Amino acid sequence: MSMSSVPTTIHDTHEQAHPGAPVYVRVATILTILTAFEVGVLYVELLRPLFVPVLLCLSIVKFGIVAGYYMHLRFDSRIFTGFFALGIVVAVAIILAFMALMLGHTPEFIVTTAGIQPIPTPVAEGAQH
Amino acid sequence: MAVTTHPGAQVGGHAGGVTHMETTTGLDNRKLGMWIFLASECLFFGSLIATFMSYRNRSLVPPAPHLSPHLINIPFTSISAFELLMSSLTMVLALAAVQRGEIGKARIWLLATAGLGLGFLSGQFFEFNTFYWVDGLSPQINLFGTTFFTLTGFHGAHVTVGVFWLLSLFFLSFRSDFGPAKALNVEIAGLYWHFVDVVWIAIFTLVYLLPPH
Repeated sequence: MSMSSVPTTIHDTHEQAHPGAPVYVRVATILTILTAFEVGVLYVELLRPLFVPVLLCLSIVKFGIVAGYYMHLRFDSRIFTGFFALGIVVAVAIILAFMALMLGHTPEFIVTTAGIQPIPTPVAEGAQH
Repeated sequence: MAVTTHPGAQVGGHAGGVTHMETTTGLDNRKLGMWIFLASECLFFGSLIATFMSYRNRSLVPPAPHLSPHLINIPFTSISAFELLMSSLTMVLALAAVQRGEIGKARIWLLATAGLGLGFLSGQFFEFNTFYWVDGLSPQINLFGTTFFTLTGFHGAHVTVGVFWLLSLFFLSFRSDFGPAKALNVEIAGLYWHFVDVVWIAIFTLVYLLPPH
């Protein structure tokens, strides 16, 4: 591996120095508060209609903070961000496509070892037959 | 592979400055390769999460969250999630210590990260045992069991690989050539570990926190 002391101008990779321990500890504090809020929300009956959007938003924010600060995407080359974002976008597309495919689809028959059978009604635990 | 370093930069890491490799991208190929691997891992976990979400609430027999309301132990899993979050903190502190050349501190943080990872795995082992022996949930019994054990089991397998990786770094840190010049090795292991953490952030919300109906 050879070393050169002359900075190159060919590759503009937009990299910055990584933050230090105080920033990492602050980020951990924020993540802890967000996680506590995430769990706490479940115990507030008033927020029940907002459970799904609130939990998804908090999850996205936590994901972004870890990727940005701990994985250094905020400070490293945008090429890394591009590759990771591409993976996430395709993954989210797969999830949404699968869910859309199954939305409203209620199968009427099931294939079992005994042959094709009609799907029984779901039975909750403790419910009387 | 040639390296061009801006003043104040450290070879192999990025502490205090920026290191540019003389590759076609100007980036270290090992780190770029890790990011491409993580992008492919997004597709892997995306497919598992897609399957879980598609079959959510579709189990016909208990135990499943929409049929057995008290199946999921949220307080217990929250502690596991907290452990994994804190392990991400200890991981970046280990990297920062290696970049500063403080190998003793780096060893402590690496060991703490592996320990928190083991704590998470112990929690998962306890959870799987409770599901199987107390609640009667198995991968074969219903759609929830199949998709839950596949998704969380693969995540647990990734955490296990991460723990072995961290422990190997801990033992390698006793070699005389371990220092700031080897910081990239720790940074790449860290990227993998943080990825495992962000995947858990998604799983924790989608599998445990979202109400079944």
